[in-house]
Amino acid sequence: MSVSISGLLLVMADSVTALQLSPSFIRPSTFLQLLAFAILLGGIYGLVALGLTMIFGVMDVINFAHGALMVVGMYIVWWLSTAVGLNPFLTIPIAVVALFVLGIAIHRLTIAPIMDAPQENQLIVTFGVLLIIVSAIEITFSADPQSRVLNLGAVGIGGVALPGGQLIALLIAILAVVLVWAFLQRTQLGRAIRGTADDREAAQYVGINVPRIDYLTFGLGAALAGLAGAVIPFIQQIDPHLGDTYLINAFVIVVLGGLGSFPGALVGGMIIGFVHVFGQFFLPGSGNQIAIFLIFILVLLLKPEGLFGGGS
Amino acid sequence: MTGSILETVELRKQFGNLVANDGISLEIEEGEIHGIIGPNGSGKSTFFNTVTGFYDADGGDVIFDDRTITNDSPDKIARSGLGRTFQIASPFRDLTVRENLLSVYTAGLGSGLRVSEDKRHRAQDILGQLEIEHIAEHEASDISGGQQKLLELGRILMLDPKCIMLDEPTAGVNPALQNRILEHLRELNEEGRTFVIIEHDMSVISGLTDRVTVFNQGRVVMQGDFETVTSDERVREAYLGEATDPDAGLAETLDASVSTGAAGQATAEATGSNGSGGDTGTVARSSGALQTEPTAAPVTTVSGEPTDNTLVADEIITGYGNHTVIDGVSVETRPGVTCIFGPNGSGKSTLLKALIGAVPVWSGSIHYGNTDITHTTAHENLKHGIVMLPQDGGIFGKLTVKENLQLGGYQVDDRSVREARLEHVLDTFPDLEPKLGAKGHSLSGGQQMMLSFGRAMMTGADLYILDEPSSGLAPSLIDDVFGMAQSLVDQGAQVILVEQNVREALRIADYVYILAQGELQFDGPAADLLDEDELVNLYLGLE
Repeated sequence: MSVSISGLLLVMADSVTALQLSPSFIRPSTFLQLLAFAILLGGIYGLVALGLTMIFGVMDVINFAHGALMVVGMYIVWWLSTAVGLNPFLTIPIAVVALFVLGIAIHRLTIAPIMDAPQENQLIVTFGVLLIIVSAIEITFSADPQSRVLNLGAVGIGGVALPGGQLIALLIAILAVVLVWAFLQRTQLGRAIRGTADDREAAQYVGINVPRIDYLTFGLGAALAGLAGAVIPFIQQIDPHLGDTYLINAFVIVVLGGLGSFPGALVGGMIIGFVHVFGQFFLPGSGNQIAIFLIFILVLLLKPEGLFGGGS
Repeated sequence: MTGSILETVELRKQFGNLVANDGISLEIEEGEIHGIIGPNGSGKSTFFNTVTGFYDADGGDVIFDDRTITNDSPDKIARSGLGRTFQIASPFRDLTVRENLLSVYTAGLGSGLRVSEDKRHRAQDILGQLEIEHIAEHEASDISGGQQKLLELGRILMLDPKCIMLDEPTAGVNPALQNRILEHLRELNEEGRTFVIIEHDMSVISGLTDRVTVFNQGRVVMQGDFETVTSDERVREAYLGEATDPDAGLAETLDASVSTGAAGQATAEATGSNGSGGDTGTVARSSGALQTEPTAAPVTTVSGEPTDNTLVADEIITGYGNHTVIDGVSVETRPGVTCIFGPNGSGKSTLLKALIGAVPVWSGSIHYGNTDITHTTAHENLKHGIVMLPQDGGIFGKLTVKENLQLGGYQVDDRSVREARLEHVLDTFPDLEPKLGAKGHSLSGGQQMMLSFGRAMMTGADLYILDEPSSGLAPSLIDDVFGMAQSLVDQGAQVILVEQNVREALRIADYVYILAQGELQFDGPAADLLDEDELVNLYLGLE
């Protein structure tokens, strides 16, 4: 579980020479760095969970392959920028588009034919897709961890040094969240997705082509996972199983925020991002993961429908 | 001998705030066949579940065979001689019919380990008695739904119960097998077994039962033999809905619709023609009935601007899985309001879903004007100008009112058309304007229905299919809903209306279909439905 953050902290150690690890005292610059990591990780979690909750909300499908789709995004960026030599930042949109197409293909080949079958069938099929994707990546690139794509050095902002790769990843994550949010809130297509998630039957009566919305949703969900994955090689080492870590926390976030709730996914992502980063810093061992699950249990006890769940 | 074998005293069961059984006191006499009827949601199945120990009662007592069995465990109750079946038969699917019978656990650990000769004989006898011996070695998943119902009855008989509670024993069973089931029930009754039966099919109730108890909203409305019960005003209310004015009988309501329908006029007042009724006399007189004033119903002629398209459905057969719900039904729209009535479970909603394309049609055809829409889906039919308002309105609760209306215009690409329609909707329903930013689920029931109508109007459709728009609304709002339906007609649209509030709906009906057990029982102008007794009989599927 500590893979992702130990990666982050390593990067941090690169640029911050005197890292103060004492819980009793935290320097303002360290705090700002942790804050930046928390927002970044929160944004990544938010994107992964948003895709997961969209697919669940609209299609009633629990997508176990979601973490694997993220890994595909990671390896596209890593491979295109290291082996092919493209500009790393140019590879991010390529990964997003590729994942959108891959998502639609997966839906066409595996889920669409069994949409009317009981839910557990789709769940098992997505688990199969997960195994296929991860194995394919292992066969192609081996199971060994791959190094980060590039080290952009430190960027000083107001006297605080932040690793460049993370800063850019942070901006991308924030921009993506804003864009996706605007799409869902401001466009007819976005409304149609939310409407279908709300009431699938009623959606067809206002003229929404629900099966087509399914394709769009799975494509978008995969693209969001791909985007989150595409950012990872800038901040840590990657391996074919890295998606599992994120998927588990994404499930926690989806339930925490309220099943099928889009704002819940983003806010929940932020919460878990903060708990993860600050917990990693202040708590010993895997204490941060314990903190995450404690918060999770607390929310389930006090507000079982999740932070943004229920209502109608 | 007679005497009560099963008795409940003030039995209560509630789920959260919903009181499903509100103090039910009922006595079942030994040896009788006792029917329990009532609209959906009246608490019949809950009563069964509470009596037989599947639910814990929240109050009251159950006395069986002179022993209090309140809140005993279901298996204990079953072994003590009170058996039951379920609405949906659930045999052990991977066991054969015979094994299903033998699997019944009668007493002690021994009977669970070794099947006694007695038990084998008993199973053999039951197979013979129920005439299912020929399928004894078939797996239960391979036999028909009706045979599964017989098997379920057989399993209960293995326990040799004194009293058997049957939850819809003939639902979804073909007529031939249905008759066989009924014969077996009569036979078993003659052996001295007592039966309590929940059934929607009134022909079964009328032919089989000694006494009938009517449930409505978790209470006992009345008890008596079938004829007494079905002619009782309170029972009619439970099924047909309340008339606004208790003094205004159906005749007046019908007269009102005669004058509106035949004269082609929608008036703002409930009017009644004189006694001769059926002619086209437009001499409106004050009917003495409570005058209802729909919110927006200007005096306009229906024929002002009718759509030339009619929806014609021919010999529709459809259902779910291998269960036929609609069995050869033909309906068509006419200018004005076409009503489809029928008891619960008669297939009304399924018929509407077949018309709109949400449920695939197995055979038959549907045309709208010259367009074949037999196999088109709901979103494609909207392009042809047909919109459906699902039961309970189907609004998007997590979206704002404005977003709901915007989605109504999903297929409208021209922004100015969308905006004009939005304005028109807000003119029609000014109550929605201050709520535009509010989430759908925060609206009151009446406002939600307005939103549902408004969202449908955004589509620009010219045929509106309304599935029980008044259900779940406060009585004071029901008039408004019919006013809304009427105003759609005034604006030149056609309306197909499915309703439980038959009496109210008849005020605006122009043409009526009555559906029972998946088949048409009646079809004709609303004016032809003059006699309430006839309506009740048609409605309950007795003719």
